[in-house]
Amino acid sequence: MIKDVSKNKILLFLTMILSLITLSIFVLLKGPIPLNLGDPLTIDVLKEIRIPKVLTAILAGASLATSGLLMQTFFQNPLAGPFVLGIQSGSSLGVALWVLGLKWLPWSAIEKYPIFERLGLTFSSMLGCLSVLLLLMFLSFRISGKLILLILGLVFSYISSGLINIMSLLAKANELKSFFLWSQGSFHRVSFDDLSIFMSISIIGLLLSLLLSKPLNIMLLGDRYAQSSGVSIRKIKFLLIFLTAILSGLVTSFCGPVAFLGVLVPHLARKIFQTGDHKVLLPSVMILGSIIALFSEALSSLTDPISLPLNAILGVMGFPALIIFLLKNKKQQEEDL
Amino acid sequence: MNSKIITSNGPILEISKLSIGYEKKPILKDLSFKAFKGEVLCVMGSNGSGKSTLLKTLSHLIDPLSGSIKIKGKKIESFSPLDFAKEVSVLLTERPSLGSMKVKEVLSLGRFPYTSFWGSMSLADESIIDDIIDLLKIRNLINKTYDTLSDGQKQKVLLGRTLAQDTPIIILDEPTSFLDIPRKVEFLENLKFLAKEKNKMIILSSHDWDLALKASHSLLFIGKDGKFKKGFPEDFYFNKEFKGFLIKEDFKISNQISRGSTFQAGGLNIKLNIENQFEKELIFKALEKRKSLLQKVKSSFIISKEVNSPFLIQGTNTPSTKLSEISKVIEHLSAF
Repeated sequence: MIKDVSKNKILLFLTMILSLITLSIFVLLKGPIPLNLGDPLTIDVLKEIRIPKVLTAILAGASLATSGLLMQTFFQNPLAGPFVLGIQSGSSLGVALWVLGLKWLPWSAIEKYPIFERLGLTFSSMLGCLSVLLLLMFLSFRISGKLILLILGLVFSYISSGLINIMSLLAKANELKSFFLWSQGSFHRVSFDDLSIFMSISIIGLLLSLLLSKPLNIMLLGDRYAQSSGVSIRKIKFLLIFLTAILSGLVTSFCGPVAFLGVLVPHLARKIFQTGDHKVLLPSVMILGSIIALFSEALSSLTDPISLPLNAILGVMGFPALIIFLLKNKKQQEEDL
Repeated sequence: MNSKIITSNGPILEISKLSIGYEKKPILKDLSFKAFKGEVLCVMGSNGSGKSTLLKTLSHLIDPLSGSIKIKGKKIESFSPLDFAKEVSVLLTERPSLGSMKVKEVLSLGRFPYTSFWGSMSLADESIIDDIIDLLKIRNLINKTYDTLSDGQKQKVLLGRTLAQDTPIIILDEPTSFLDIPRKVEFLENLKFLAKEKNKMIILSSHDWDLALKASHSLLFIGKDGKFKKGFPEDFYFNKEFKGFLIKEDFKISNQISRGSTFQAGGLNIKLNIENQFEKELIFKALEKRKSLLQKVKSSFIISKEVNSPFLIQGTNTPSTKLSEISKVIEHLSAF
């Protein structure tokens, strides 16, 4: 069985790319406004809504899945994901401060400016991410143990959710609703104008991750073996934290805290390709992440007129699918032996 | 064969006044020794005596508290990480979990310091991996997923990865801990092959006296109080220094064909006149391990020994000498 899998790698990649294209076309065509060629409205809808949505889903899925893989390899922990460093918590806290805390913050005056009204969420989320990123960079230089980083990320997420809870108690109903909607994640928030920023940062991040596939492979053996193979642990640690924070921070800023995807996809990729080689895993994780993001988007557009929140779909679909997949695969592995 | 124990080429590894340990708590102090190509050095001692710490310090994974470690005359701190990885490879006691990684992929990781930016393997890399697969007899495993192997198989694969790094110095922390008896015998053969044919300097830690006596040229014993002694493993036996730890009367050497009483190498002829069969075997082994040094000697000797008494060496044209240690016997013989 296993030997066949390695021969079929190219076929698997082709299948994945084909499904990615099919899903993209589906999401492009499907939506509350029917498309009609020659209608000027159709072009506007495609340009302003559908194309940004598809591209955002593709890149967000790829970025989250990649940062999940980077973190699982770095921490040698299958449960690690983009959230472990506390990036998403920082983001949530930033947004909560913006949405829920405006009334007693002095900078509420800036809300009147249209640019902030449009980008306020993204901007505050980005600020939250960046402060966590800076804190992490500082800590990673001072702390050598990875486990401490993991614990700090956890502690930070508890602190931020505590603060958010306190703020929600003091907030108004409409503020709570807009925070809730943000926290459910969505690929609709990147407008055509913001798309170029979103695309360029994520593509650079993804390409840089690909360059790390050789050291990532040796990191699987653990820090000591990696070091004795000639890897500078300090450098690689810095790079991995930086890339993960940029990728997951970017997505969280624009799309909200998208759940599960980052943890799930690396496992799927490892099971499908039966390999630990990051030269194969990184591209496959990117494509699979995009597919799952687009698939969830497609599902949410099927439930017209209400579109289901992204995290609800990912939660309800994602975990059972993974469990079934893992169990089935385990059985197969046992048969192979 | 240029396997030398006392060689004119200079030591490949030179340790002077080394103190090791964590933080400010030293485990071993003032350790100095030299090691040469083709030498197998076994580090023994009870749990917690600092064997593992010593090996990690020598692998540059832990910084020494004081003193210096030199490889080929160069301090290890002055090597770049990648250059150091081409001099020293290591097998650790930790067992990484490698997910869906294939055995072949794990072995290929050993080529890390040599492969290109993308880690693609050259033909030379492939053939080194292929040799190791044959040496360790693991061809049946190469397409299997690492995590599905047994502990003993994993141990072999990790050893294979270490050997794939193809360094002049190989450091192995408890390499036989998961191996059954036949695998252990196989490992001993591999060890001899690497030292003798590939001229590697191998440092390993073990609890296994059988291994120390059969395959290692020198033994570093670390006591509980931080005291240490380095010497020929055979002398540890004859001096009965570590009684209780070492010698049971029924000590068995596995897979031995009983041989005659004559050791021959080059122009050297030694008749062994030794009453105890085990001691005779041990002396035979000790001579054989240093064969390359002894075969230059052109003379005949008789070595006699009774239990609990020193060695008596009688040469054809030399006065007879009494010596208490094998190391001195070999030194004495090689002087002719």
